[in-house]
Parts: sequence; C-alpha cells; structure tokens
Amino acid sequence: MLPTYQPRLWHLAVVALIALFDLVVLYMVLRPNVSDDYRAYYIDRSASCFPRADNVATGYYPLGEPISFVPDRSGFSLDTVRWCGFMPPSNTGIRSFGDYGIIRIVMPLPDDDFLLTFASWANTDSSKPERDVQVVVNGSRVGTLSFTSSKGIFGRFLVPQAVARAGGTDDNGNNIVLIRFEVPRTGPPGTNSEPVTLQLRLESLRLAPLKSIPAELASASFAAGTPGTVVEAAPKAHPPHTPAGKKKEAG
Amino acid sequence: MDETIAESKAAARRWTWRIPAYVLLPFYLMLIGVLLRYAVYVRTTGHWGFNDYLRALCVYDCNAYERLALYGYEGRPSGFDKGDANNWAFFPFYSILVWGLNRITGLSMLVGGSILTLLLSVWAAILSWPLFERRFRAYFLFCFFLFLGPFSYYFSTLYTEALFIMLTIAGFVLLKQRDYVSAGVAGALMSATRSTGLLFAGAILIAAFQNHLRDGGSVRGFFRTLWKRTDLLLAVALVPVGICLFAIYLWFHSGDALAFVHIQRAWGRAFSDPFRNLWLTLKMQFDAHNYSTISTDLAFGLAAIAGMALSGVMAWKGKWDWALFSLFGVLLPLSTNAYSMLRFVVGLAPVLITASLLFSRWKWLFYLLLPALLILDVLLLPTWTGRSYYLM
Repeated sequence: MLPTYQPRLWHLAVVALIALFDLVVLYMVLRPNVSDDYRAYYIDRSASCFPRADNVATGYYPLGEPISFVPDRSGFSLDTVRWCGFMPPSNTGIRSFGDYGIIRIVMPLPDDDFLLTFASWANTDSSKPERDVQVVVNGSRVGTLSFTSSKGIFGRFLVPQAVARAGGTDDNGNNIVLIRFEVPRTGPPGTNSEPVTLQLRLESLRLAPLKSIPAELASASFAAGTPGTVVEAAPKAHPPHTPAGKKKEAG
Repeated sequence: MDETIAESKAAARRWTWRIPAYVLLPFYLMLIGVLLRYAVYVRTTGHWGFNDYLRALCVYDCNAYERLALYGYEGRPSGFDKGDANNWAFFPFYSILVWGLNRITGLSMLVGGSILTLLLSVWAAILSWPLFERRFRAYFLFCFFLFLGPFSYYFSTLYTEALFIMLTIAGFVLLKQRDYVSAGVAGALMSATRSTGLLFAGAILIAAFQNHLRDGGSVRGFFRTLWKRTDLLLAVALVPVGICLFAIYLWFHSGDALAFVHIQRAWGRAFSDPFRNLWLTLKMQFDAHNYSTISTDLAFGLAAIAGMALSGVMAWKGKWDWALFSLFGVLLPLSTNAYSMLRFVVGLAPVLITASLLFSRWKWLFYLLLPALLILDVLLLPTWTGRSYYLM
C-alpha cells in the first residue's frame, strides 16, 4: 500500500533558511575577492605560472654579480629573483614550466645600458625541430635563442636603459626588471590540460651596467652592433632530459 | 510452552549470537590487520617503535590532513616545485574530527588520527550489515578487504576514505529505512568530507523514487505527489550544506569560495571529458611502446573501468541509487585527471559492497580471494611506505 505524505512546515522553514544560505554562497562564488595574479593563474587560467610571494622572491640582487642557479657554484645564490615559471634551483639549474619563466630583479638602476648574460640549455636534441626562445625584458623583446641540440647556449643581450626602466618602480622607488623567457609549445595538452612546452634551464644569469664591463668584452659582445642577438654560443653537452615526477592527489 | 514464545526465544538467541558475529568481526579483523602490518614493518625495517610505524604509514595526503588538523588552512599557495599548491584542496571534516580528538584526549594528531580512522572503518563495517541482506560471506569479504586487503592503508592512517565510506554506508542504510532527512544530514557531512559527497543528493531522489515504485506506486504518481514530499526537499537541500560551509570559510580565508576547485591546478587537474581522460590514460604506456609492465596510468585507468563496471552491476541488480552515485563518483574525479583513481574507486562504499556480494557468490572464489588479499596486503606495505604512486 502506498504511504501518504503530509507536507511539514518545519521542513519548508529549514529549506528556506538553507536557500538563503545558498544565495550567500552563490554571491561569494560569483564575486571572488582575489589578486590579479591569482585570478589569472587559478580562475581564468590565462597565466601559466603563479608568482612567488614578494617577501620570498624579493627581487634583491647585487647588480652586476653573476647569479648561480646551481647549488654550490660560485655566484650570488640567494633564491630571490626566481619569480614565476621556474622550478627551484637544482644541479641542472632552474627549469622552466609552462609558456614562460620570469626572473624579476628589483633594485635602483644606474643611468646606463645593461648587458644581460646567461648560461642555458633545453630539453631538445638535433633530431627535433629548432626551438626558439624569446627573451623579453619589461615587455620588449631583446633577443631570441635558437636551440637546435641539447648543447648549452650562452646568451648575451644588450638591454637599453629605456627598456630596463620600463618596468616601473615599487613603493620604495626601486626599478622593477622582468626578464621573461618565452618558450614554444612542443606538444598538445595531456590529461592535465596543460600544454607541453620546451623546458628551458638556466644555470646562471647576470645583469650588469655596460660601463662596468671591460671594454674588449663589451665590444666583442656587440660587434654586430645589433642588440638582441646571441653573439656567442658555447657548446656544452647535457644529460638527456628526464620528466618531472608526478605529484600525489588531494582529495 | 507456547510455541510463539519458544520461537521468539529462539529468535532472541539467534539475535544475541549475531552480535559478536557481525559487530565483533570487524574489530577482530582490524586488530589482526594492525598487528600483521606492524609485524611486517618490524621485520622489514628492524624498528620496533609503534609511533615510527604509524609515521611510516602516513604518506602523501596523510601528511596534509595531519598538518591541516595541526595548523589549519594555509595562506598564499607556495607548495610543490611550481609554487602553486597548498592545502585548500583538502576538505575539512575529517581533520576537524582529528583535531577534536586531540583536544579531548591529548593524543597526537598522528596517533589519534590513526585510531580514529581505524574506529571509523570498524563502524562503517558494522553499519553496512543491513546492506548485505544477511549474506555473511559477502560481509566477511568486505570486512576482510577493509582491514586485510591491499588498500588497508587508507583505512589505517590519516585519510578520509574511512570517514567517507562510513558516512556513505550510513546514508544508504538510512535511505533503505526511508529516513530521508537523516540521510540528508549524512549527505551534508559527506560533502564536508569530499566533493563527491554532493552526489548523494541524486542518490536520495533515486532511492525515494525506487521506494515509491516498490510500494506499488507509479512513475506519474511519484511526480504528482512530489510537491508534498517536503522531507525529500529538505534532504536534498541539506546535502550541499557541508561543502557550502567550506566555500564560505575559503571565501573569507582566501577570497575565493571555489579555491578548493581552483587549487587543483597544482595537481594537474582541470575539468574535461572523463572518457577522453580514460582513453589517454589507458593508451599512454602503449604509445611509449611499454608492453611489459602495468604503469600507474594504466592501473588508474583499469581501476576506473572496474568502478564503472561495478556500477553497471548495481544498475543490473536494480540498485540505481548506488549505481549512479558510484558511476558519477568515478566520473567526477576522472573528468579532472586519472591520477589516484585506485583510491577514489576504493573509497566508494557501494563499489566495495557490490564487489563483495559478487565475488562471494562462489565459495571457491571467496576462499581464493582471502589469501590473495592477505598476501597483497603484506607485499604492498613496503610499496605504500615507499610512497609509490601506484597506491595513490
């Protein structure tokens, strides 16, 4: 026999309260109160990395000193300029992930042009197509690295004063220099929806005022007189690329 | 002596006999399981410390739940190599219970949490008895799987599986008893434990519909009287309350009510077609010309298929509430990635119960499975403590 049902007022009263509660939640879902960085990376997914916190990646760097991204090598080794899109230092340097990696330097700049130098390599080899990495400083492209093998490339680029200063200043009046390495996509997205990209490794980097560099080095670097070109490629063999380990799940 | 009285006395005797059988069985198996794995740990590592043993079992998400109970939710994401992870992905209810136990008893989060998980698993097993319809062999297999099976680690350390399974079983028992409002409360607690708890809202409606048909009602009659069913309305409304409370907390904590969804990017999870994900997972190792082993990806894919197949068995048996809950319980995580599918499938109570009912139908299979499960449990202990992705 079919049971009969009687509507209960207290059921409806509780449902009404829950509905009000749900409306509040809906408002919160539709109105996230987050930073632009958070929105771009986690919500819109328009960014391929989430910047490290300002109190960690302070941007501090003794201008002109070489930075080492390989532990136990000489050079400035505090992890203060690795800002976004690079994994922590390891014995193979810092490895990019996503569409780009950004080094951020925050300091007062002298009135001068700058020489950007770095040692790099990528997970490619001679059997693969040429992979171009764009080097962009404060939004202006200063050069291109072309990887045709697993050998390392030592990049040297002139960064004009106007470009170096185009990143604006922080609250303390320090200039902000964003050095962005844009890597190509090399495969379609996998099950994680993230595109497969070239992985650039930086072993060291230096940004130095041009006046502080010995004249013969500066002239050799820019013999062609064209900023933004790689003028020296130092062949260096690297071990074959090994993919990053997967992570466990939340749940 | 009156025959009726004699019969009721006999029934009473049977009833009193059954208490140790189905109530104490999970306790015994749990104790045997704990002692066995501890013995294996001592044998393989040479360490006698029981706390060290519990620490060794506490890998991956266990650490996250322990830290959550200790320190609460973290601030700006900075975890993992990409610096984009934190513990917002972990639902709060389990860690709240661990924290509460710590406050009451003074036990450490690790010890208290491990004991809580074991007791929740025992409770889940005891509560599940009505769902086995007096098929003790199936019930025994289910309990054996929980405490002495290859995935016993989920039910021994700080993971949410035990709590979620216990709540799921409680919910389905309440649905069987047609106590929809209480089932809705169980659903609210489920959605505060794991996101898949939300699926229980659908199970409530389906169970009510099936119960209506069992009572001789018609499909049209169900929808015609639905407006009177304020109990169903309340039950369904209650289910999302748990996840909504978490969303409100996250909005105040991080500014993003859906932070528990968005932070999944750190784990490489994004919504897409679950069947495409399944296909990619299944063929991945063959694309790499690996035909000699079963990779973690293939294992995850096979687990998802097993979960879906068992959901099909539930549907075939007419348990549509179980079937759809389990099917979407597989498809929801699979739609974001195939990682951890083993754990997600094992965390679905109807899947475990249906598998137990199915595999215990044949005595030979039942007796074959018991030693097989036991051997796997022992052999996989070092794999688990060695942080294998297989078991994640």
